[in-house]
Amino acid sequence: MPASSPARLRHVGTVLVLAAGLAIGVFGRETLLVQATDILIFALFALSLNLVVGQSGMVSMCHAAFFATGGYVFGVLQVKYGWTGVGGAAAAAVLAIAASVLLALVIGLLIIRVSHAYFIMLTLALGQLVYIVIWKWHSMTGGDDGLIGIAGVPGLQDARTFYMVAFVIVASCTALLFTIARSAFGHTLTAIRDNPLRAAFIGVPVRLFRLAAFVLAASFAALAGVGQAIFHRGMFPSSASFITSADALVAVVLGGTQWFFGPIVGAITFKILTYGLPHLTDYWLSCLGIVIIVVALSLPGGLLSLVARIDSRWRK
Amino acid sequence: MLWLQFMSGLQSAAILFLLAAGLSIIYGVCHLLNIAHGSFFMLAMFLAYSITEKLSSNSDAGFLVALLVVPLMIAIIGILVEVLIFRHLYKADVLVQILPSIGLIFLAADLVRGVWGLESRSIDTPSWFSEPVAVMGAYIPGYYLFIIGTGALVSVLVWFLVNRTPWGLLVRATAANRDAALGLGVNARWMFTSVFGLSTWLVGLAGVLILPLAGANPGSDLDASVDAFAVVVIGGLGSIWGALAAALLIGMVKAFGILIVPQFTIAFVFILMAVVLLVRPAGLFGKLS
Repeated sequence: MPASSPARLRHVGTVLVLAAGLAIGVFGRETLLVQATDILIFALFALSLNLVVGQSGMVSMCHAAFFATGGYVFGVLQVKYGWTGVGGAAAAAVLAIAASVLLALVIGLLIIRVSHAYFIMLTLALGQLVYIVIWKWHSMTGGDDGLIGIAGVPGLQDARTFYMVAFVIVASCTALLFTIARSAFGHTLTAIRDNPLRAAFIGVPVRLFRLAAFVLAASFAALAGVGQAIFHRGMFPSSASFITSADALVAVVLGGTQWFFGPIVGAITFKILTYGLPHLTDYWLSCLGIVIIVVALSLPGGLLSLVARIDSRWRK
Repeated sequence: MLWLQFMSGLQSAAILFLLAAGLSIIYGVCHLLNIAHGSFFMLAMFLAYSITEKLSSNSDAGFLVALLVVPLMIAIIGILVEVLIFRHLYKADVLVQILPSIGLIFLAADLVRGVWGLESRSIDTPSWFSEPVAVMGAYIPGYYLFIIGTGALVSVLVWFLVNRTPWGLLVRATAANRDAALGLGVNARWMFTSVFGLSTWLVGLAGVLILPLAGANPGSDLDASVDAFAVVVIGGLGSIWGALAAALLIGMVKAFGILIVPQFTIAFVFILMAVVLLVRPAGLFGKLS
């Protein structure tokens, strides 16, 4: 951690983000509310990924698989099995998260012992496999046409209400993830990331902890996926694609992996870029690609390192 | 029938080897995982398509020109990418190394969408290979034999480059012990750039060769990357001959798997990967580090 006061920055940042989030909920127009909800879901998704990437040092390229599994299981239960109403939706959400946890366990058990480069390749390949299954299982998922007609939760149809509920849920999950990150469990993950061999020598069951982090992150990603399904009233195969996994990873690095709130800052910045760039050019994905390359080359610590650096210089 | 499947397996093994060898060499020498590897493959396919279309008065000549020119173009792009981007990241964290690859995947996908659109593009098999060739009682498409021949020839060339030239000696030394080799005065910059050039040349060649058999799609990049990952995971990352063995294994599994369960050849590859990982986590020819 840089020498400036991260805690002070964190307090200021948290208050600012909470105030801005509430202000949007109270005063925001429909367009802004929709975009802000989109950002909230993406922020939770990115935040869950950072438990694996930043805290545990595993570069996962299949996080979208858990996001999409959450959304699709929820959607299929609602559309094909009629689990609507508040109770039905809640049960569907629980089952959706359970399905994602199961998938993460299967994938995790297979790959948790391989080294960095293999982990990246295998997660990417398995993520593509999940994407292909969703794409081809037309009778269940709607394939290319998407799974449409997800009823969601009664009472949450209005954009403002949905935003406020999403805001409260994402804020609570953030607090929960923060507690996990600062717990003994979280510190053990950091120790494993910094030196797996040394952690193993002092008796830490390295694979078990890594697996637990992987599965826990998948459960939060699945919750974000359920949010996505309700938000769009549908699920599409692109939610499981490489692009979705890559977007989250980019957001995480853009904000700064070594900062708990890095993914949130990254997610907000990333979404603002993806909203803004298409207005400027048809080749906005290329621009985004160039931004990503430039960030990797010039700002590997992420935006928050930059903020911390400016802050410490300014206070001298 | 079985003989035809065998030749089909050899053909896809040749493509897989050319595709994956570069990924493996780059990792072995530079310790860098370029997940944008498949993007070079896709770019080669679309460039070859355009060149063949431009010279459509004589599509055979067009194909020949593409076969000679496109791998060089891809190699030049690869060298530029190494000099501009990856050169500055060899000492960086794995995560920071991955990021520019993602940026490159976005860039290449967007470029392909803008220039060639979203349709699948393919070219005809050159007319020299349109007649099937009778081999041991079965009629094998002539183009299969061309791919197998080219694959074999290039494998021998790579073997010669790596094992019988001064450059290859430096490559082997760097792959075996990077710090020692660099400490003894191996010019790392030139070495890494040339390795990138060779690797992207190989992947470019694979892209041109496959084009008459499989169309170029906007999704070809990730499909190719996943294929290449399967090869290096099974063969062992960093090992060229592991890549060759794994390419043959996967080629045969795909060719004969299609006879048993036609829809799920991809599943066979994943099952093979899972089994190899459980038995030998570093691949058949890889070293645990």
